[in-house]
Amino acid sequence: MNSRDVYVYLDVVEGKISINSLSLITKARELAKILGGGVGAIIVGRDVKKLVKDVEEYDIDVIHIIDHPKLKDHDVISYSKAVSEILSKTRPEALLMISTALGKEIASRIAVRLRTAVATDCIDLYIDDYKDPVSGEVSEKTIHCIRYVFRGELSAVVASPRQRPFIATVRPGLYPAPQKIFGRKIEVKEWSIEVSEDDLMKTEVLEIQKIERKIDLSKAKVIVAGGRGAKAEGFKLIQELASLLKGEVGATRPAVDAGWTTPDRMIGLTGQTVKPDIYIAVGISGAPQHTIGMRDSKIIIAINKDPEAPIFKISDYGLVGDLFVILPKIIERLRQLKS
Amino acid sequence: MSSSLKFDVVIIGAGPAGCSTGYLLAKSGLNVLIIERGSEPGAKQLWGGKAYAQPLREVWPELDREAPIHRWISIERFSLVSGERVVTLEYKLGRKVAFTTYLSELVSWMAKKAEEAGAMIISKTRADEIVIKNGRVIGVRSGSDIVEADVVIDAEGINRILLEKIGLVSKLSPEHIGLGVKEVLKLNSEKINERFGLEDEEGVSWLVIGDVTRNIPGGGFIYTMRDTISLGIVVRVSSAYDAVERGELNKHVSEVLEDFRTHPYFYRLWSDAEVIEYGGRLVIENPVETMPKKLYMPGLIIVGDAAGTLVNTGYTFRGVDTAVYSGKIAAEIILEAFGKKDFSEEILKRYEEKIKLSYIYDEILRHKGVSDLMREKFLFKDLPRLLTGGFEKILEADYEEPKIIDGFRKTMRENNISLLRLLSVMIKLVSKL
Amino acid sequence: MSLNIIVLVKSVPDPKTPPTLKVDGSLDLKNVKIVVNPIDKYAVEAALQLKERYGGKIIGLSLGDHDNIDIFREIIAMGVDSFIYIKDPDYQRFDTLQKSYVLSKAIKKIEKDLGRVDLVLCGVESSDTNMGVLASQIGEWLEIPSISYVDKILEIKNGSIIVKKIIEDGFITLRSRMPVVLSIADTGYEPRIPSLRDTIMARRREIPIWKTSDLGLEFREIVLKTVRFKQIESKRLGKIFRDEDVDKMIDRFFEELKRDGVSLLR
Repeated sequence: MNSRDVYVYLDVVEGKISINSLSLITKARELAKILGGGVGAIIVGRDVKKLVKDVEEYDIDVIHIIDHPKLKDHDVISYSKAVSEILSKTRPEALLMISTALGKEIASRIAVRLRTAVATDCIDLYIDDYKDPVSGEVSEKTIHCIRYVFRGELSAVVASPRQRPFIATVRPGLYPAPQKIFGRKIEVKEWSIEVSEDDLMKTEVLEIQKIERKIDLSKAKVIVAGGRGAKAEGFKLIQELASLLKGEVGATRPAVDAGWTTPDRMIGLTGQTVKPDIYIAVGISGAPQHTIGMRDSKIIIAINKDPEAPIFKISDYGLVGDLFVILPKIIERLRQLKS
Repeated sequence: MSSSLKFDVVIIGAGPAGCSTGYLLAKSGLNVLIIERGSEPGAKQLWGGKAYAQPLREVWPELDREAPIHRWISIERFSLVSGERVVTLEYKLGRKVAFTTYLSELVSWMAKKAEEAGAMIISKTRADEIVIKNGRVIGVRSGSDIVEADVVIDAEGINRILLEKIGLVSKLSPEHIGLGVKEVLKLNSEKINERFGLEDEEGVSWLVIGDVTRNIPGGGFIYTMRDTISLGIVVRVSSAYDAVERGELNKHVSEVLEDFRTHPYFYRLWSDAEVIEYGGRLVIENPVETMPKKLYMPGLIIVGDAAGTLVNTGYTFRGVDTAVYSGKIAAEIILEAFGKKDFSEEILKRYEEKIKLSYIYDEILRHKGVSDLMREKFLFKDLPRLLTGGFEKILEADYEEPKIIDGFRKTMRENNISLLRLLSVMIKLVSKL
Repeated sequence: MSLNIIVLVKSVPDPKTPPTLKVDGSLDLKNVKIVVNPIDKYAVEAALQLKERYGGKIIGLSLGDHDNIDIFREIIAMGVDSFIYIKDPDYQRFDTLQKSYVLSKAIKKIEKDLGRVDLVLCGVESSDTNMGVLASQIGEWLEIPSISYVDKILEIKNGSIIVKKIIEDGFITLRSRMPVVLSIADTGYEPRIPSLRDTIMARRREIPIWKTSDLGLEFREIVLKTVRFKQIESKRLGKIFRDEDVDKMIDRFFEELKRDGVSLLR
């Protein structure tokens, strides 16, 4: 096994390999080609051996698998233990994972176990020589990750020239699905770990609440969204403006929690990701948990009474003032324009 | 020590007046608390403009070296505009008299100086009440907490909610209120230097009167900052409405500013600049009439805008230096009071006496009525028309160049302006400015 | 029951005015204003609410290289019982592994004094590095469980804690044995604003400063290196309107829309 391999962690979601994690195979192959290594995949979990057949036609050289009856979903400790076990034996160049809440937790713990580097939420990876600014020592063909810092105001390129493997979690949706190569035979390696009762007792899942997606906001051309500042009365105005503009109503998590609108209209980290032509943010301060789901909208208009609200930084038009005064006037103006 | 909420001095408001008083008192060893409503000192200070340096230097001799100064005013310009024609006077300054800066940066520097001197500044905290007991101010209430002090300094600014509550000022009525509209244009400093004929760190302060304000009484100003240009106008709200009634003001005031920005004579200076901020604020029209009944009471002194030190020059407002200077006078009197352990009116009233003897009061009085004068139709309409028209006749003559006096005489006749009226207004204006 | 809680608080360049870059592509940190990472205040609030419900003691803990310890006074004013600042001149070079290592050593040291630590709380991520790995990494160093993206702590009973965690498409309720490290999202705990009295009192409090050398650390190499930074050019127009006269403001707004060829109605 060549030590300059690039591995991909394949997420198992509801008994299936997640499409998002499969797309990382494409990137892994691109990097592995330059490094002169192969592409490996890691699948761990309970009753996962049967999933091998779902991925064996993809562009992977070897699948490492740990199938253990005691590995339960959301058990971060035992999962990171299992993945670390494979990595410490095989020592690839890097491991790519999809940036999910769970994925980031596993990645973080692996990095501590292996005393290696982790970079989360990468938006791309490439290979370049790394030159140490102090010693001048050059590490040839080193994986570099690009990621946003300072809430997206800057990007940073990071690299880990010496330690292996470099753990990178990658934002979903960046790469195309991998090629299938018909009739190819993938090597499958099975590993085992000890899962102690003690580890398992530490966390257990009591309940999972999924937000039902009755409304697909991603297709809306116009979204008028309300946040904590909007209040129940504000949402009436938001609804009015949205129907006037033939758009949809959106909301931040606090607004949904307060019961001002339904959870299926939530936008952001927990909710949907939208890119409408016009996004009107009403009483939304612009916390990253929300903006991650709307910052790629074509035109962003914000109405907020706090001139320092971060939402104004990512807005094309910002109106500073009381939304209960501003919105009715905007609605009135639009009505006049319409007639 | 859990209940020791007692300071020598509590100051309400960390603006220029609050910070200068706090700085001087803390430097002299007093235990000073400054409470500020905004998220930090300077946060609520909109925009910026021109500040006079000398009164500030009296408080901070290190001003020139340390303060966040954008540009020292090296050129003062004065333009009269009639239609597309403009007459401009330019004066080149030889000394560092005034500078441009963003008020938020300057105030944050002043606050830093006060903190370094030992004052405690607490932001995001609103003073709800000036607490009076037996006719004497004993402290400030914020929420359910009362902070006691030997002297409370009200530096709350132009919106004098606390002073209203204790009856030292009455509510401002509409005729006392003006409207300032301002835009900030982004332009890199090299371009600013080139177009305004400036060296690095040199700035322009430019007063414009005439058509740019669409004949609304008021005036326009232009200041060059480091890499932005501020331009704005000040109008009296009621007069703007009058203009609407008369049909002379067919556009909104904000459009007037737009007209100013796109006036061909000025537009060439910033045609490629981007408007990065736009806003309006209410301002006090005539400070003398709206000054508090008195600037002190036992245990209380009022400084800065709250004390009416904001000078209305008719075209812009001058307030930073007067606020700072009022703080300096307040600090002198308070130190004297602490020396004698006497915080009665007898001592504190000397503050008001000193203010009335200072340049601040002179400035206020000198400008008293100037805004009315500036609003005379003559100054806004007739004078610009006369000057530009006169020069046009002289300088744009196709055949024989007329005598200067003939050019002006003709224009006066055309515009129905009497010589006597011209002279009387000119004399009045010169004596005021 | 009485809980011993440690809240981790990071100091970051003020997210309202992020640093610019020097010519060599490194961060220009000379003029940045240092503030408390905004999301960490939600973790502080969570700790305060737990203390109000179950009783106990809250210790704030921070690691950095600056001297602006005054920024932590807001946290003290909110109600934490004490605050410790670990200062290390090499902090700017630290990667997440090193930061979590130093902090976990400090937690161990505090645990020795307190006898027991039940909960370690932090914000989900910092506004500067946006990594979001601290809770898990400290959990791993201390060999205890960790849960990230916690919306609400529902209950603490018999040495276990029940929390509601945010996941991609909803929520998941988890029970964990204590001690546990939790990263708190900015959703369930709106930070309180301290009173004037508490703010003044906090100004008078002493904040002990520890040195990393006091923590008995082994030498560790920094494994993650930052190669360079790049400014993301905002493609946003950033036109801000503010006016006490709302009609005028809206006039201006619609004019600008028209000028930019943006039509709201379709």
